[in-house]
Amino acid sequence: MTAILEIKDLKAGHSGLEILKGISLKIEAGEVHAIMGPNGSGKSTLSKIVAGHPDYQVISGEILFHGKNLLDLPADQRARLGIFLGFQYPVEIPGVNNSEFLRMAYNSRRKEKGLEELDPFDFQELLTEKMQFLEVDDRFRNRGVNEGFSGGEKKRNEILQMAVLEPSLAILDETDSGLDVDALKIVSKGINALRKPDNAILLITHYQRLLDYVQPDFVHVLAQGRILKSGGKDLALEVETRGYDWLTAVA
Amino acid sequence: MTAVAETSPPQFMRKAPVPEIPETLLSAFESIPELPAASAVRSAAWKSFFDRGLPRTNDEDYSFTSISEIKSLLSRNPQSSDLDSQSGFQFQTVTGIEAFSLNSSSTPEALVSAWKNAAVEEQDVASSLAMALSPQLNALRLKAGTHLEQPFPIVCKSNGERTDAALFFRFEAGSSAKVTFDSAPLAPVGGMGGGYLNASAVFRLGANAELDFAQIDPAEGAQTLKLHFILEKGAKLRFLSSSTGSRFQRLAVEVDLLDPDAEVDLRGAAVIGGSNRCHRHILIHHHAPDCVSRQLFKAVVLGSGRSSVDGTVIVDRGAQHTDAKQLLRHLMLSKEGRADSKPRLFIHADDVKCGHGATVGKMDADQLFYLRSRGLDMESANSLLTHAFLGEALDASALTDFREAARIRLLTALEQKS
Ligand SMILES: Nc1ncnc2c1ncn2[C@@H]1O[C@H](COP(=O)(O)OP(=O)(O)O)[C@@H](O)[C@H]1O
Ligand SMILES: [Mg+2]
Repeated sequence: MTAILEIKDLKAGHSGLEILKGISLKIEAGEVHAIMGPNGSGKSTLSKIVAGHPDYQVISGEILFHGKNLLDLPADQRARLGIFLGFQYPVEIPGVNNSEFLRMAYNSRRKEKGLEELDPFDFQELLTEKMQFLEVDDRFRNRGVNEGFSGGEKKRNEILQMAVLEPSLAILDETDSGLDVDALKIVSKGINALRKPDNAILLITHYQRLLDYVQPDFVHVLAQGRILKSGGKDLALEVETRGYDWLTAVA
Repeated sequence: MTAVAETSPPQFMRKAPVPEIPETLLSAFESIPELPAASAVRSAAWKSFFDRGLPRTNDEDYSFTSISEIKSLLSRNPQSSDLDSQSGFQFQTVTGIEAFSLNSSSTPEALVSAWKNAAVEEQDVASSLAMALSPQLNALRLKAGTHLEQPFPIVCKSNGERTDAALFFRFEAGSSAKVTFDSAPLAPVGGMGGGYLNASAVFRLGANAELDFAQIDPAEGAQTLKLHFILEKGAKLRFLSSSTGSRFQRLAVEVDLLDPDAEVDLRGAAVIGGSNRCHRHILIHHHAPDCVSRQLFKAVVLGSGRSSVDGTVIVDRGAQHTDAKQLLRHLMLSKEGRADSKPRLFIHADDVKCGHGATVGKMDADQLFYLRSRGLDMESANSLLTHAFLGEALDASALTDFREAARIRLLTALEQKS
């Protein structure tokens, strides 16, 4: 079976600066991977490159999604194929209605699959169901996208979008940062609901706390643009107690 | 209609301290019949014009606009004073509104003198000329305490090479109304020139009067439009201007906050593409304490469109506790387009809250990526963000039908001119 995501010796950066210095990673269907690492190690860069951010350049290497080369596809095409990026810092877009936008996003994905678009009424029903599941207040429905949301509300909105779009690969960039325990539980509930045999999830996190609620199959430590160590859930615990220094010292 | 004798204008009008006044204008003014009420306004307006003359190079009030072009428009031969003409201001009076023509003698003295005062103070030469040369001088009055539920539409029609039109509208104390203002070219003139409309309207709001006002620029021809709002104690004005530009367009808005507790909220939304141009000249004058002013002007520029906004706020010495905010924003969607803004604050009081900002920017890359990362293609993402940009200025207007019609015109221009 082909992996959902396969990254081969990826070197990439931003405006002439090499940030990722040879990353290889394979995520099979049904798996949850976690990437941990110190600030500035390149975690967000990796997530944006997989999602297709136009400001980042790939120097060499490959990214395959369901065996298909991603690198020539624009971000919107990748999203329609089933890649979802939960942003570390979701941007506010005043004047763009949250649920309207989400319906457009949802329908763009359906169209890609050759399905008929969902009309506004049916979509509102679907949205209501997801909002209730994730305990999102109804007043967020018709606000501007992330407009005036607190940090935690923005993260929860990312998870809501993920729940609606049902991607085959979700990359969640520090979705757990800045959440209180209750919010963390709800976010985890959303992530676990996406955990299905034919989906894959890549969690980027600083804290082992999230991994108590979402059990990863693999944990990788990323530092200075390289994966220094991969292992099971135990590695996360080890990082939690020992920090990163023992790993970077080896490298 | 009674025949009227032509009289020669008072002496000062010919003693030309300003050499640059074209003969076309002098003779047009002289040929207008002398009628008591009308002449009071006309003479005052003509004197304001005569003291200034046509705009000159380096005139601060005409930064970003072509002086030669505005001079040539203003020098065009004014339409003869054909009193039956279909051009100029058109409206249907409704219950609560009285309409007067200053060419007949029935206009209440209070209206005439209020208009005359505005003409004496007028600094905008195009507006002075509109009042001096308009064949008709229409005055409207909304009676005290009257609430007009339905929007009151005013249309200004131009006809031929040049049309001058002038209007005065008095909203008496405690009244409220919604007014829409549409400039429609009656017969667009082909060729290089096209029609030219030069219009001036003065709106005076009595104590606690409330006005919701929305305006749309004509899609063709050239226009210089002056809208002057004078607010007495506690009066409130909500204003929306929309434009897709044309070969020459200049909207001047002046707001005088005369007495305490008056409030004004000005918003503008424009999409300027092709080779169109649109210039806005805003002047808000806080004369009295405790007044509030808001300005939010937004324009999208595409193609080789040119948009400029020149916005000035003056806070007088006695105008303590003024709360004035101004934001002029341009969204540039092309390299060939051009946007200029000139926010200016003149504050002579010390206990005030004033803020201003002007931005000229491209589409926000982070917002664009966010939308695309959810599956929206480039075109949908761009259009969603552009609509949102304009929406902030458009959405607030209570004139929903007019606002939505304006939105459609702007969005159509976006699609066509990109
Ligand atoms: N857009 C950018 N422009 C310049 N440098 C960047 C940009 N994005 C990331 N970097 C640099 O790349 C490195 C990795 O950043 P990032 O991927 O955000 O790390 P992490 O998410 O692991 O904290 C940092 O040194 C950062 O300064
Ligand atoms: Mg990061």
